[in-house]
Amino acid sequence: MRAVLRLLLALLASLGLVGLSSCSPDPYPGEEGAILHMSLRGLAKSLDPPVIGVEYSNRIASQVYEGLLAYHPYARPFQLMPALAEQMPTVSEDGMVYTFPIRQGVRFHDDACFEGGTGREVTAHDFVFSLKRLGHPKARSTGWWLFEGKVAGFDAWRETLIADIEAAETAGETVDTLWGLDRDLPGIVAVDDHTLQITLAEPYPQFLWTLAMNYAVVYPREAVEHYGKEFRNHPVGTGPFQLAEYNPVYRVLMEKNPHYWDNRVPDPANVPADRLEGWDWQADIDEGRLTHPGERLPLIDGIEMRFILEDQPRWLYFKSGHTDWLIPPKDNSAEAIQGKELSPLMASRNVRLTAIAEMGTVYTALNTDDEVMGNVNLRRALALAIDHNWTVDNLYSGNAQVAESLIPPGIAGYEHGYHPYKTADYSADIPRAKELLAEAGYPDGIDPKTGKPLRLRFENSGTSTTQRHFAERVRDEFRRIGIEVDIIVNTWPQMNEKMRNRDYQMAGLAWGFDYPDAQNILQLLYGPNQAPGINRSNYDNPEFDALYEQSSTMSDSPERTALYQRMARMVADDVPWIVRVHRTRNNLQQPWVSGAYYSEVHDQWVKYAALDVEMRERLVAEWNVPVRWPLGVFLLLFFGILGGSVVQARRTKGLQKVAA
Amino acid sequence: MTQAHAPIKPRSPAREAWRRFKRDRVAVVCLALFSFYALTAGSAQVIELFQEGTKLYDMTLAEQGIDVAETATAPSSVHWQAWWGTTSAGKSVLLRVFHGTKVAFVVGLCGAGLSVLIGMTLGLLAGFFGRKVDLAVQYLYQTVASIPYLLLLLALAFVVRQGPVAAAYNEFSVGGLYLSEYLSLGLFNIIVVIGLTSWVTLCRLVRAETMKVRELDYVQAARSLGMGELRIMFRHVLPNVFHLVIINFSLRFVTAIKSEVILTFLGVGVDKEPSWGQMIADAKNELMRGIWWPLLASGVALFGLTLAVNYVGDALRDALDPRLKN
Repeated sequence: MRAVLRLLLALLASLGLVGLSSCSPDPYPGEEGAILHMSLRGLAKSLDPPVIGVEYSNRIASQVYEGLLAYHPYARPFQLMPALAEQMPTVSEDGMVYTFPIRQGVRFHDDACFEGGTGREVTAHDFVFSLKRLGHPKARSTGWWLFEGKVAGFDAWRETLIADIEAAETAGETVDTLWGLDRDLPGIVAVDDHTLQITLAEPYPQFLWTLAMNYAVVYPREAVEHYGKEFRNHPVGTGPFQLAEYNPVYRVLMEKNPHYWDNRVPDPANVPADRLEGWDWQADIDEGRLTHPGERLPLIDGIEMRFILEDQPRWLYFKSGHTDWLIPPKDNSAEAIQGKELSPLMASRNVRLTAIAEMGTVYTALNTDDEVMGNVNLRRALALAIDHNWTVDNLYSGNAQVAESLIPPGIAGYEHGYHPYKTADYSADIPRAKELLAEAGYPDGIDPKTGKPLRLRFENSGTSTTQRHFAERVRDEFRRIGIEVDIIVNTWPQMNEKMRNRDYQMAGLAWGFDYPDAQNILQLLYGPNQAPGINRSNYDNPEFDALYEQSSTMSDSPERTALYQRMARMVADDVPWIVRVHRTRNNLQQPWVSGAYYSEVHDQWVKYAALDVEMRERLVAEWNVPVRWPLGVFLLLFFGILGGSVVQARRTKGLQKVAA
Repeated sequence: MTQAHAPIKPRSPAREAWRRFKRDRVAVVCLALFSFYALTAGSAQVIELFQEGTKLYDMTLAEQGIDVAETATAPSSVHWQAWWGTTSAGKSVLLRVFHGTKVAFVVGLCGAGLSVLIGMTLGLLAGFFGRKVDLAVQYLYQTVASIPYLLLLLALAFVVRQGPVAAAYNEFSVGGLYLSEYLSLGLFNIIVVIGLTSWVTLCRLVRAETMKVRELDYVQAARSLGMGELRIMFRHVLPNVFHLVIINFSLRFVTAIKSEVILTFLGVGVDKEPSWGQMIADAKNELMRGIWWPLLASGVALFGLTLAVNYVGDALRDALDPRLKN
């Protein structure tokens, strides 16, 4: 009996502990001021700008660092605006020399790396230093491709450096990312303290976009010297926020930079200079996105980002009001969004839904180098057998739009209405598909070689239900024109291997743009990029290649757009891809956040956020009233069963005694 | 024994078992339910064999000219195919559950069969011959048992479904008939994987029982009469451990069906034909959108079969185990 009692006490004690710990549900104890709460779906890696490529590092870096140019926070399609450059650069007539006036009076964050701990003023020399370091072999930049072959003399500068570093290392010298960095590079020069000049090796129209990326931000030499390798965890920049705490597996805490330069939210209603051409600013005001015009950034005291890798807790953080934004995880998507609308719960909470046409395209790649798929009429017939509306409604629950061209709307080169192998209303056209199939040599889908229906392979790169549904639908649709499809399940590396070896027929793929320029997706069909390159369908059209080469050195102009359109038409005619949909990405925003216009392309929108802290506190309390009765029921059940068994045990003992 | 005495006709063990099984009314009901499932599975198989071209379960209702939207629709009386509603691809849930029964039976029978065959043979050999054979078998089953079941299942499923095994299977034919056309690779995969992973329990039981039985007097007697080892093993030992095999088969049957559901749920199971596992896997996305009927239909079907087989299995043990006589 003693033992039972002891056990019982232990159980009670542990239950009490559980109860106590769940009494403080606030995940941000002791927080003061207006702090934005965000969750990150993956871990950040290095915050050293040359290697900053990872999505989650970018989310942090974009608040801490700034470059010459930035994305306009509201204008769509995207536009660039000056950031640390005083204004947009003047470009020489041949399009080769860019001159940037540097903003005066901008200071780096206060940091221990500076003498006296106060940040000094940014000059053009800091840009020279930062940009050159991107090409330093020891910096091992993942963004070197941005400048490779594009800035005059940069490649040669890098080559010499590589050779010299090798020599120095053989001689036993230790070489860091600053070694030889001061060597002159004619392509990137500080004309004076506040003028930066960049000379290109050849016209490179996408060049300005790259300057808005985190690879091209400015940081002080002192920080790299002071922190050495640890600089990756101690970013020092000029941004509206500076790092207060960085725990790479738990959270990032940023506080506002007290010396932030006079950067204001655009105020197009009052400041004519802010009225960017092509920006429908009135709509942004009317629809409640531009809520704090003319106010000085930052509008809040800080940002806390938590690394929450699992979908379920990330969703629950948002649902209970503990994070301010969320892309709903797939499994919880239905709980948040139904069709194109918010779920009743989310709608009743005034959550704001931003549905963004993802800058990218989902497509079915057809391997034109395959014996069977090389047949253009077969590919056309397959394309016509697909009912695209069904795909959007059923496989994407309406969160996508049918892709007319491989270039999404809003990007130069997109052409409405040219889709010869999609019907006008995007439904399937079985009779015409069958005609084409007969022309291809497969009447009614019968392969003359075997006398049986033609069998094609569709490769899946994973085992998710969504992928299976996609493939099964392809099988159903192609069956209607008499073709059988075998679905092959691969792991992602296996599928990659098959593609590199050109050993596949059909596969479902998608491409997301790195920058808003059609060249970024057209490169996937450029002949010299064939497997093992990124041209997975091994499309080989000399005419296309010639146009691609011609367009690659042209700057954004109606002529170049015309070339893009011609290339897109060729793709539509030859069907190396069955272009499927452009997905819509849904982002949820809590009602107490305003001012920030979510974007997929960059992370610079975060710093425009404003917070209503009082509203957040009130609503979070309201949403999280603890439900206690299940605990009561549980305890009741627990003690009921325990009591019952004790009584039973006693009775049995009694009986045994009687029997004895 | 002289001719004068009329021999008392002994009741055969099977009859005796059936007499005892019958006493449990619920077991009889469950047996009837199981027979119903078996009949369903059988007819699904027959229909499949004689259906030319595209199988009906794989066609959407709209495609057949029935006035039902090509998407998930709730159960309705528009057409018999729509009685249980349609899947999100617009296909009949009723037909797919019907066909799923066949898949479940094929997996259950073949998977459990393979597992029991391996377990029984190894157990018998180990228990009967002892020494090195026993050590080898013990080593084998301890190794298999030490790997977490689900991981082993998944790893094997990935290995079997592609590479040389799959290729060999696809090429395998008898007299121009390809086996893979009757038993899809996905199904074959599951059967093999389940068979290879779930024989350990039976093997242990049979081994222990065989060790006991081989020392009994009648076996010694047979041995002294000069019977061959194999004959003793099959005529005298096996029948006396066979009740274990039967009971274990009924348990494996359920496990195999459940494993099919798990594997298919994880995406490495049946892929070319409808199965309950597939419908349950689909439900994780559909349920939130209010599409409950595919899950309910497949869930009820699975529940009924599992319950019936489990109960019958228990009753069988009671009826067959010699220690529980009377």
